[in-house]
Amino acid sequence: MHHLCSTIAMTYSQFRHEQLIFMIGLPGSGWSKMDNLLRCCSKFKANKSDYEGRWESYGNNRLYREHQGAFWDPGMEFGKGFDDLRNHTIDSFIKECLGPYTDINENDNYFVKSHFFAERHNLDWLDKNFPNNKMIFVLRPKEYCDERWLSTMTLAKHYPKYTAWQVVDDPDEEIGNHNKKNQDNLRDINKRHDLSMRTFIREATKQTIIISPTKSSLDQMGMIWDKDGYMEYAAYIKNYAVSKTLTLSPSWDTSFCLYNCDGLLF
Amino acid sequence: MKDEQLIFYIAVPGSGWAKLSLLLGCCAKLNLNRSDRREDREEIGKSGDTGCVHHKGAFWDPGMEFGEGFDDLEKNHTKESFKAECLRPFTEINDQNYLIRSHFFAETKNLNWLKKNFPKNKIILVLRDTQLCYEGWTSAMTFTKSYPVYKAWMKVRFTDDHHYNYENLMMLIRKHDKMIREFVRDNECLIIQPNKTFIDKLGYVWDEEGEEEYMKLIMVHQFFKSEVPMFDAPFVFYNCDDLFTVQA
Repeated sequence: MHHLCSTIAMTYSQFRHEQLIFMIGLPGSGWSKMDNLLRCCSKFKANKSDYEGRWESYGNNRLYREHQGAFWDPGMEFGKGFDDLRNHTIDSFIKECLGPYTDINENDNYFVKSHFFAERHNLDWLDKNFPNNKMIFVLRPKEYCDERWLSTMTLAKHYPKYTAWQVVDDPDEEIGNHNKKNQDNLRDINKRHDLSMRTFIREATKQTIIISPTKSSLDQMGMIWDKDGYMEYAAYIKNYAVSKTLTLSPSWDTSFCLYNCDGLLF
Repeated sequence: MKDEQLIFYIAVPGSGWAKLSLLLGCCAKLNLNRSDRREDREEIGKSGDTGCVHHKGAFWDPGMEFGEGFDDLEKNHTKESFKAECLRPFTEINDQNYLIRSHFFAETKNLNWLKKNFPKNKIILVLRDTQLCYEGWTSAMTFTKSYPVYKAWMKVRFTDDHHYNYENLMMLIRKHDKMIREFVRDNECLIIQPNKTFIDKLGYVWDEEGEEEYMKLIMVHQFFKSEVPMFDAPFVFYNCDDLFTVQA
């Protein structure tokens, strides 16, 4: 209750709209690791108070956490109505964005990651109502995203839940075992979101830079190479930059588009 | 002529590197000399005259007009003979920069030689998925009937269409792609897609030529076999920090 009151108090007084950073990508794009990686970069001043208790380990021997932090999409813990942001007022939207954060202050920025932000009507709504905010898109070939997600995730058994992508009952008993109709639905939604993201980026009138997360670019953004920083970078390289042929030459097939982020890199 | 005026440009065939290099030619910050351009150093591609010239200017690789011995720089060149070969197609030598385009620079031994002998020089590379490169090259080019000629990629010299040639092309694309990516992995590099914001940062000149080159990027490159803009062929910048320095 106390947290809710402080959230509301901040929402309507000191909290600036620009403190929200919108993160957008397809399931399977590696966006979650990108989010964690970028939050290690000091230039983002990213708040991490949503991390507590929200992650997935997939076993006991992993060196890093998967899916760390909050997610905002229909059917998930946060993001009710985010399939169509026109369901929200600006204030109700901000309130939902700040829901998982326990430490809300004037100095930090707050990453809000939602797959459904990729709907064209949502991108336009965000751009219109939050014209000064940063958006970060994670780009990866759609086929890689489909394959990655369908072979490594469940719809409802792990964190976060992807029930909004489900159209029929799913075996979901083991990772990678899905009903064909659910597989097709995920591919269809990914296709729509991929098209709308890339079209939005191509038509953008604001600054857009598309860059891969090499050490150099992360350094430009003030990467802090402490234990967490190295761990997140290693997790990204291991999962998303090493080519399928295991040549150990990074494929660099995942990049991120910095929209309205002028000054962050150059 | 200072060593640093040479900028080394590296990618595999079919990556779209030639078109992307023409974009760089319109960027004021790179200040590239274009006196290597001539009518007989142009290529419009297999599809014929669509008003789109894909290749302009000199290329340096074994079997091409320039770049003899560029498959092994250490073995075949001194630093001075290498510089002379790089500058040979240019009719004007002044204080501008010279973009030297060679696929075989991608050999790890050549990248090491370039770094050792030209430690302050810029290296710009292009990355693209190898299958797309192969499809891109074979849909637009031939081994000996287009400009530039790709004799060094042939196994069977008497005919263009022998399947051994295409197998060898794919093998070399994969080999050089791996070497390029290892270079990117092991060195301080920025990987950036060529979009409007970025080329503007490099001082892109939006005159008639600039508009034309940008349209080629959009129409021919970013939508190759795709209904969405793929952004699948980024530049890699090594030793290029001064390009990205924000002017006070």
